[in-house]
Amino acid sequence: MAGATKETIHTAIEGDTLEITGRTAAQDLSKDYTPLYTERQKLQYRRSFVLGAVQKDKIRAQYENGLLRLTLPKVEKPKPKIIAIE
Amino acid sequence: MKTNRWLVAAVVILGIALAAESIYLFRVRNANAGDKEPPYRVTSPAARSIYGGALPAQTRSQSNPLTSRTFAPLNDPFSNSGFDSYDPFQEMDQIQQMMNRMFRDSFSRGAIGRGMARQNFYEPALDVEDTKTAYLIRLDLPGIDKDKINVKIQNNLLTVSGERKSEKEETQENGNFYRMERNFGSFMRSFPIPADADSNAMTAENKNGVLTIRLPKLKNATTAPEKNIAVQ
Repeated sequence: MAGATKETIHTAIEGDTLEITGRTAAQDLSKDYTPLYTERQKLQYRRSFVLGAVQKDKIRAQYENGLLRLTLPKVEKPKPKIIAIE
Repeated sequence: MKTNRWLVAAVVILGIALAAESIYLFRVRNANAGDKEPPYRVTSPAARSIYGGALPAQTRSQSNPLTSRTFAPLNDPFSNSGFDSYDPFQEMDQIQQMMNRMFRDSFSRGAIGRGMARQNFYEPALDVEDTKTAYLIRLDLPGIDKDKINVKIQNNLLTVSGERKSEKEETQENGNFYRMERNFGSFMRSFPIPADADSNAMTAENKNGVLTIRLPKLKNATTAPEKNIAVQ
């Protein structure tokens, strides 16, 4: 998602689905220009993932250099409860 | 006449057999689908469409009969199970990048399979704009530090090169990858600069993963006067 700023990326969790929406490049175009060569896509995008066992309230998102990094901490496995034999 | 009758009888029998098989298969399928719920909620392929158009929320969360299959995902907690994880556009894009590089490599001297052995096909997209005062060249270089990008001019040829390191090499933690859709590897793109561009006043800026190279136009660009050469 090169060219996006922190404000133009939206990440949301709805139920079990994590959704990332945004728009590529387009916002850096100047007003008065003639394109000579265009390869970069000017599109909206949306990707969604179904979350497994993660701690939803501890998800962190970092954006740097055109790269969004989401950290999803795993749910710790419950420790087996040892029952002492009397 | 007699052979005709035989033929008709054979067709009828085959038809009945086909119908019986269909009914049987349907029953088996329903029985399988009945006792197991899909392990994960399924989003329809449209939800991850690269165009990402405005879709009503309802259609996005609806489970698609094609994709709500009963087999468990292959150890991928993000898996939507089934065909959803396959994105034909993604694949087309990768194949195109691969073809471009192969095509270019085959024409460049001494660069036999540059980057091919490592299966790296990273090719940044590039735009060139012609504004009144300058040429603007933009490259999408997400996730590359500015000190890893080289911009140089030699013989009127502007070359941008660099390398996008795989996260696998960067991170010390030995984690597993569930998905790897991003491309890594070294890249190089070069193009001739126009005659009326001032290469001495060129500036480059990397912001939010977009490298913008600004080539100001010469104010009094003198196009070489036309010269006729007499044919002897």
